[in-house]
Amino acid sequence: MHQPVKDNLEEYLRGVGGRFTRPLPPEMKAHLASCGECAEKLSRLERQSVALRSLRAPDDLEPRTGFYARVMQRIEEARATNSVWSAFLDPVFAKRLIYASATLVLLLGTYLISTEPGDMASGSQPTIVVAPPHTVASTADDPDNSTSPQERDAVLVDLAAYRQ
Amino acid sequence: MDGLSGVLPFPISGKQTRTRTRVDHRNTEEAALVRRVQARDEIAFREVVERYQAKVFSIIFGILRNHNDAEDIAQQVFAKIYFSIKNFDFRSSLLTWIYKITVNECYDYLRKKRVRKLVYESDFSEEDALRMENSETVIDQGQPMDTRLAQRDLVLKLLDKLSSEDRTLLLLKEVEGHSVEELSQMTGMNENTIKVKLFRARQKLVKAAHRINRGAG
Repeated sequence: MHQPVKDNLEEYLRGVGGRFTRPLPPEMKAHLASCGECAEKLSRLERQSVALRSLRAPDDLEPRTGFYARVMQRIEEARATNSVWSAFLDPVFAKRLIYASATLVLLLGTYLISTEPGDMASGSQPTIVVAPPHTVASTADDPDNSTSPQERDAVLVDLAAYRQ
Repeated sequence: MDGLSGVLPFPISGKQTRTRTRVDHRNTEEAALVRRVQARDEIAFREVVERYQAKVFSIIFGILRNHNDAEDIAQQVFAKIYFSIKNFDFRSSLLTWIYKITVNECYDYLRKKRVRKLVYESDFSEEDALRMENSETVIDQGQPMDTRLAQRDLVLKLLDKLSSEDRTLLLLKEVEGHSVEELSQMTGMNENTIKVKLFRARQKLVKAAHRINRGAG
């Protein structure tokens, strides 16, 4: 679209489709007489302008009485909803919440690890305990003791396992 | 709200005095009202609602052509105004700001409902249909209702392709009938910028219409 049309376009389109069509400004009229391309584009924009005005509403529209009260009611509802969730949207509160959650997780983890029983598998296995030398000596001196050292070792192993 | 936002009285048709002075939206009676609303003065907010409820309602009705939806969205618009007026920066008029919020709410509603075939005759109450008849332009009135509804549907689809700012400008120009000079005062942008933006928006609409027609064909 050429300049003489562009310059006057908005003012000209104001009158299109209304009850009083405005006359074309002289320089625009002169240009359109010799430029078919601009004439065609202008006609398209005139149609577009008329179509856009189909969104025009009548002047006498008003909402039903009590509109302000209904708006305030909606605001109160929004406030009630926001007051619960807005705390989470507050950056300071959100940051504190994150720190508190992280600390809680850390404490809980530490507690769980510290209270977990040691090596569960080792408890079921018998532990071999070697009898101190004085015990062996005393039993060897005992004349009533008729058990072999292998048997005594087996008894000690059993006892140790039982204690565990 | 970026370039657009404030209230000018409704457009005056015909020739008018051309004042090239830029409106300072910070020092108006309206700015004082806005500041009171920003300070959570309920009486001031009530004044804003009463001042603009009819305008907001008619903008919505113009787009949706349904009384109940218009009422619902108008309430939503004012609730939004209440909560976000602290962000109003006086760069534009309050009406421009409210207009943009209103149109955006309408488009959010349309997108949410995924209404593309927007209004069927069955959706109209008789009263709504009568109102629509009375609001059509001279050219429109020569067309059957089906054609007009299809045309409105297409117009809304095309406008959805524009940015919120371009859409608001085009609607303020075409639907509200403001002149470029008035738009300049309302938005705080200079007249050439307005002209360029409007021209580009119109070109976008033409291209979008071509694409839709090609797709349909």
